Amino acid sequence: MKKKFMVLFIVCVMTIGVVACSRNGGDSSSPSSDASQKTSSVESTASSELVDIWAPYNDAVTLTVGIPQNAGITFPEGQDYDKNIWYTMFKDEFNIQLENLWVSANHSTQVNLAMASDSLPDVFSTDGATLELLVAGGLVADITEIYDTYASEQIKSFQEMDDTIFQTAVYDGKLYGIPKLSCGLIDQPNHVWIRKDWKESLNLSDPETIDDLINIAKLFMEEYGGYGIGETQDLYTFNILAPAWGAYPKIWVETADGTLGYGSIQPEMKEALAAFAQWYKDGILDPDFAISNMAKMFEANINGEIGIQPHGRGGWGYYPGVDVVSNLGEEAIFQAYGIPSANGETVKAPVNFANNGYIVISKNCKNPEAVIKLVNYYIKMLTTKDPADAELILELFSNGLPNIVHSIYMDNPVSDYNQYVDISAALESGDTSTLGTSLSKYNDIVDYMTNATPKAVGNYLQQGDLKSAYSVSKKILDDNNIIKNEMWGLPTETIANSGSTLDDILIQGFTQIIVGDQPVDYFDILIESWKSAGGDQATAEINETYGN
Amino acid sequence: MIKLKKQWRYHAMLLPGIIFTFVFCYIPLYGVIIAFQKYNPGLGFRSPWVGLSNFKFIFSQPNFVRTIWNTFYISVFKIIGGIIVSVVFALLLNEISSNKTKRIFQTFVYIPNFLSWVIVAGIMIDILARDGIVNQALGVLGIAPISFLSNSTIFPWTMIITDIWKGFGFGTVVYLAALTGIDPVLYESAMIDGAQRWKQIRYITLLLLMPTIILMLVLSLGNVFNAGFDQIYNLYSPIVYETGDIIDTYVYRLGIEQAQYSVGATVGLFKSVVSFVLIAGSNFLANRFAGYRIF
Repeated sequence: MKKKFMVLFIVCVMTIGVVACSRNGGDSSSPSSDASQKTSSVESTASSELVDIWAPYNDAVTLTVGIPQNAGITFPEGQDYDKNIWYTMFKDEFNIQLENLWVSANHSTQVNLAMASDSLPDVFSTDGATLELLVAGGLVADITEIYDTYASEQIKSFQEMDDTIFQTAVYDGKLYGIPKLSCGLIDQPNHVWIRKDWKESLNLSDPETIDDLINIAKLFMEEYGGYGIGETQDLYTFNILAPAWGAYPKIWVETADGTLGYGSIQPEMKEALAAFAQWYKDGILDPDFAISNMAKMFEANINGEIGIQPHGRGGWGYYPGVDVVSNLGEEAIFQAYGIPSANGETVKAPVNFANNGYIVISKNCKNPEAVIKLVNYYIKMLTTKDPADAELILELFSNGLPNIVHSIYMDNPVSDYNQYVDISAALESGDTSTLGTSLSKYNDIVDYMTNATPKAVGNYLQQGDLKSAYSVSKKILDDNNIIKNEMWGLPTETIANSGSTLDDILIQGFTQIIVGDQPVDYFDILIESWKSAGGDQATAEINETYGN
Repeated sequence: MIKLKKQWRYHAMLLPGIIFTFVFCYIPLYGVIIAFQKYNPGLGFRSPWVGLSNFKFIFSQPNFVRTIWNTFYISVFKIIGGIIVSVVFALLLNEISSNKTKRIFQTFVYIPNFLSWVIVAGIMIDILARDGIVNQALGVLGIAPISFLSNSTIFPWTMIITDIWKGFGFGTVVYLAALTGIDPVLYESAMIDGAQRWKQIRYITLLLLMPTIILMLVLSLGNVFNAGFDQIYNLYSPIVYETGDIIDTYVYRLGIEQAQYSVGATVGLFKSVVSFVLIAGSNFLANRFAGYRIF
C-alpha cells in the first residue's frame, strides 16, 4: 500500500516538475495583457492647425515599451529601468507614463518573438530589415500624419539633412517609422593608432606614407619585440588600411566604367593584398592572425606587445585603451593618425549608411502621438544650450542613462561634430556654461588631464588630446575626403539573404593570399567565383536600386 | 491485462518522459511547414507559401554542398573513433580488480564531458597554438610546429581527436555497465577449454558487447549531421572553412544578417530526413547481417 502510494506520488511530482520546468518559451515576462490602463486621450488627432505639441495630457496616458538591456548604464541611487529620471520627466512634462514590457538581453530576438505572438509593445526600436517584416505583416502604425502634425521643427530639420535616410522608412508613400539617424559622419572614419611613448623615445616623425608606417613598425619590433601590426581572422586591419591603395573593401563604389561595383573586387585590392602578403612574409603581421580575433588582437596592445593598432569608429581609447593604461601606465597611450597613403593619392574615408534603426509604433497603440511628443522632448533636451538646464541635462545624459529610452531616442546628425567644436573651445577658454550634454565628456577629459584616471582615457583620446581622433576626423570631413557607400540604404535581396556567405568566399581567398598559400594573382580567380556565386546578381540589384 | 496490472509501476515511470517527448518533439512537428514558407514572424503561419524554393535556395548557395561532405567526414570519424576508444577503455577498466580504482578512473574520464565547449575551446586554442604546450613538446622531439587550428588538412582531425577525448567517458560508462553484465561463468569455462586472455576477449567479451555497440552506433547515426556546432564554432576560422565548415556553422553565418527562420527550418528538415533514413537503414542492415535489432 505504502509502496503504491510512493510510486504514484513520485510520478505526479515528476510530471509536474517536467511540465513546469519546460516553460522556458519566451525569456522575460510573459506580455501583460494589452489592458494597460488606457484612459481616453485628450488630443484629437485630426484638427492639426493649432495643436500644442508640448502640452501635457489632461488624463494620464500609458505607453508600453520594450528596451534592450544595456551594461553601460550606471543607475544612480534609487533608480532602475522602471523608475528613473527620464520616466519621471515624461510624467511631469506630459503626463505620459512609460511601462516596460520587457528589458531584454537579446532585444532583436525578443522583438521577433513579440511579432510572432502578436504582443508588441506600443513603441520600440528596431532595424530596417525587421521594419520591412513589420510593415509586411501589418503590425505597425502609419504615422505619416501624426509625424507631420506633432514632430517638432528640430526633428524635422534633422531628418531633412539626409532625405535618403528618411525615405527608407517610407513604404508606399506612408511613413512607418522614424529613423534614429546617427551622431554624425565624424564618427565613422578609421584611424591608425600609434604608441606615444615608444614613438617619442625613438624620435620618430608622424607617418606620411604607408612606408613610413611600416618603418615605424619595424623600429618598434627591433626595440621592443613583439610583432608590428595585429590582425584578426576577419581581416579587420586589412579592411581599415586598404584605402591607402585606393581600395575600399566591403562598400559599394563607382567603378571605372560608371557602374556600381563591390569595393572588395576592384583591381586596387590586388596592390593592397600584395603589400600585406609581403608584410606577412617579413613577419610584421601577427603570424597567427588567421585564427585570431579582436579580443586577442587587443590583448597584444594590453600586454605591450605591439605599438601600432588600426582601429575603427569605436575609438581605441575606450577599448582597449582603458585596459592598456590600467596595465601599462598613462604613458602607454596610443594616439590617432589618419590612414597614410601608399601611392601619393589622397586617402578617402569610407562612410556607411548613417542610420541606427527606426522608432516604430505598434498598430495597437492608442496614443501614437504621445510617442512623438517624447521624441520631441528628447531632442529638445539633447540640443539645449540653456545654462538653466545644465543640471537636469547632467542627470539625464550621464552614466549611460539615455539608453533607458532606447525606444524613443533619435540622434542629432551633427551632434558629435558640434560637440567636438564646443569642447575644444571650452578647453581653451575654460567657459563651460553652454556645453549642454557635452559637459560630462568635458569633465572626463579634464579629469584625465589632471588625474590620468584610466576610465576617462577614452574621451580624452577621442576629443581632448592634441592628436585626438576627432581632430583627424574633423579634417577629413571638412576637406570632404570621404567616399560614401553607394548602398546608402537597406541591403538588396541577394545581399540580405546571402551577403555574409559571399563575403566568406573573399575572406577565405584573401587570407590564403596574405599567408602565402596562394599567389596574388589568385585574386582574379577569386573574384570570378564570387561573381558566379551570386556576386553578379548582387551587383545587378545594387545598380538597379542605387544606380543612376 | 494481468501484465499491465503487475507492471503499471514501470509504465508510470516512463510516463513523464513520454509526455515530455510528445509535447516537445511531436506536437511541434507541424512547424516543419516553415521550411516551405517565406516566414515572416509578423504573419506567423499565414506567411506566403513558396514550396521547394527554400531548398533550391540553400542548395544553390556557394559552398553549402561542401559543408555536407565536411559534416559527414568529421561525424563518421568521430563516431567510429569514439566507439573504438570507449570500448578499449572499458575493456581496460574491466580488468582492474579494485572497484574503487575503477570508479576513480571512470569519474576522471567522464568529467570533460560536462565541460562546455566554450571553456574547452578556450583552453585548446592556447594549448594548440604555434607556441603552445603541444608544439613545444613536439619541438623537444625535434618536430616542426604543427598548425592544428589553421591548417585545412589537420583541422578536421584536431576536431575529431579533441571531441573523442572529451566525450569518450560517456561511452565508457555504458560499455562498462554492459561488461559487468557478462556472466563470469563463461570466462571460467573458456579458461578451462584453454582460451587465453586475448581469445577470451575476442570470442566472449566483444561478442556479447556487440548488441550494445550496435545500439550506440545506430543511435549515433541519427546524429551524424550534427558534427558538433559548439566545438567547431568556437575553434574554426575562415582559413579552415574548406574542411572545417559544417552545415550548422554555415547556416549560422547565413542567418546572421536576418533572422532566417525559413532557411533554418529547411536545413533542419533536410538533416532530419537524412538521419531518419540512416537510422532506419542501419537498423535494417544490422538486423539482416547480425541479427540485432533495436526497433
